[in-house]
Amino acid sequence: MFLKLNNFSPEKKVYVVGEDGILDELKLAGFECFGGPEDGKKNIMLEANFYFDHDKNVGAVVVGLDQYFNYYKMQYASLCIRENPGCLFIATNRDPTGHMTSAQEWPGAGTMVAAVSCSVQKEPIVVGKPSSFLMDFLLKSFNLETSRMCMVGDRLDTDILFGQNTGCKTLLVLSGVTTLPDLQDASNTIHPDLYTNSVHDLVKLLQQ
Amino acid sequence: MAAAAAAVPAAKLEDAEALIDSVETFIFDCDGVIWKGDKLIDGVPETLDLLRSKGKRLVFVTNNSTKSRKQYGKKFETLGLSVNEEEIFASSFAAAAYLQSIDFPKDKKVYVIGEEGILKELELAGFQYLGGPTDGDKKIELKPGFYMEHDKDVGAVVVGFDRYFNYYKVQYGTLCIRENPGCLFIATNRDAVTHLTDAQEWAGGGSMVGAVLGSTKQEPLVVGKPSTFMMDYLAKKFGITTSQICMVGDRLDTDVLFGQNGGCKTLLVLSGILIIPFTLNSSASSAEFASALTLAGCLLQV
Repeated sequence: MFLKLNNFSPEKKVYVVGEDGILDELKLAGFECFGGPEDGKKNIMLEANFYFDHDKNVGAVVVGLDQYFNYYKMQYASLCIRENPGCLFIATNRDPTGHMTSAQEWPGAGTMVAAVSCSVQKEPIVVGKPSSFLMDFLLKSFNLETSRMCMVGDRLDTDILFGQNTGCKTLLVLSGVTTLPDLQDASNTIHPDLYTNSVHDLVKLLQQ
Repeated sequence: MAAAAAAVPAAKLEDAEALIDSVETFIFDCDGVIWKGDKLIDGVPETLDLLRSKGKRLVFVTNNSTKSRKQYGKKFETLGLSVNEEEIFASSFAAAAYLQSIDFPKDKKVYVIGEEGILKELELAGFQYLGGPTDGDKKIELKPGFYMEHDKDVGAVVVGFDRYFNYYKVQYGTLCIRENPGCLFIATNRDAVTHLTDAQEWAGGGSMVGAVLGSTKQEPLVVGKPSTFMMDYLAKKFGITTSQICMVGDRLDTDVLFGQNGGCKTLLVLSGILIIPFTLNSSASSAEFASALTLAGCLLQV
C-alpha cells in the first residue's frame, strides 16, 4: 500500500528480505518483486575475484520478519539501498521479538531491520505500528474517526503507542508480552487509558 | 576531552619528518591501510621498513575478528611483511583479553556469533565456548510445539562479523542475554561495512551486532575501535603513553575516533573506504591526512 500510495514506478523492482506474506501482497498490488525465502538458500563465496552483483532496477527494499535471514540477503539489500539512486528502505515493523510459537519469544522483524540499518547507516520508513501509516489508510478507506476507536493490544511500544499517536482510546491486555510489573515499572513511559487481563474481560464485565 | 574544544580542520600531510620524530609508536589499521582484501597496498613494505629503521615501534590493530593474531601473522608473512604476532591486535583477541581483564569465570561459557578468529582466541585464553561457524547449519522451524533450549551456563555472548549468520544464532544469543542473569553482550566491533574482497564493500560486523541489539534492545560492550580498550591494553603492555602514538587508519568513525578518544595523533589515509574527493569536516578534526600514493612517498622522502 505504501508503495502504491507513493506512486512507486512499475518499471522498478522490489527486493524482499522477508517471507511469503510480503511477496504475495506485492504481487497482488502489481509490483515486480524477488528475494524472499528462496534467497535463504544462497551463500556468498568470498574469494579474491568474486564480485557480488545486484539488480540496478531495484527501487525499494522491503524488510520484515525473516526466519531464513542470512548474509547473502543482508548484503544484497545493503547494495541496493547504498548504490541504487533513490532506493527506498522500507520496514514492515521494528518489533524486537514476538510469540512466533506460544512457548517462547523469538526475534522479530526489528532484528532484520536493525541489521540492514546498521550496514547502510540509514533509518527505514516504517509502515507498521507504531507508525500511523496503517491508521491513515484505514481512516481514508472506511471514513472513520479515531476519537470513536479503541486500539486493543499487548505491546506498549507498538500497539499502545500506535493508538496514542493516532488519537484512539487504548486498552492494554496482559495476555501477551506485557506483564503488570512491566506496565507499572517506573521506567515505563507509555500509559494506556485502560488495562485488563484479556479481551474476554469485555464479555465478563458486561455480564456482571 | 579534545572533542569539547573547537574542531581543528584536518591538514594535509606535508612534513613527514616532523610527524615521525614526534612519536615513538605507529598503530596501523589493516584493511584499507596495509591491504585491501588479500592484496597488499602499494608502497607499504618500504614504509614499514623505513619506520622500523628509524626505531619506531609498529603495532597493527584491526576490527576484523575473522582471524586470530596467529592467523593474521600468517597473512602478513604471505604478503611478504615481517610482523611479529605480538604486534597484532585483532578484535577477536580483544574479546578474549576483555574477558580475562574482568576475570570471567572459567566455569562459565561464551556463546559466539562469529568466525574462527574469535573461537581460537577464546581457546588460547582458556575459555569454554559454543557456537561459531557450525551453528550456521542449524535450522529452526517456527511451528507449534517447537522449543529452543539454551545453555544456562553461558555468561557472555560475543558477536562479530559472521558470514554464516542466521535466525538460529540470533535467537540463541538473544535467549542467553535475556534469560541468563548477568550475561554480557560483547561486540568485537560495529563497522557498517568491511573490505572482504578488494573489489567492493560488504556488510560488516555492525550488521550482526545490530541484529542482536534489535532483538534484545540492549547496547553491547564494544571492545574494538573506536572503543579505547585495545589502546589502553597495548599502552600498558608496551609501557608507553598515548601521546607518543600516531594512529594511522582509513576510517573516520573507527580509526580516527579511536586515536582521538585515546589521545594520540591521527593520520587518515585515503587508500581505504573513503573515496577521493571527499570533504574534511568536523569529524576529521585534529587528523592529518595523506593519499595512499603519497603516504609511502611522503614518508620515504625523509
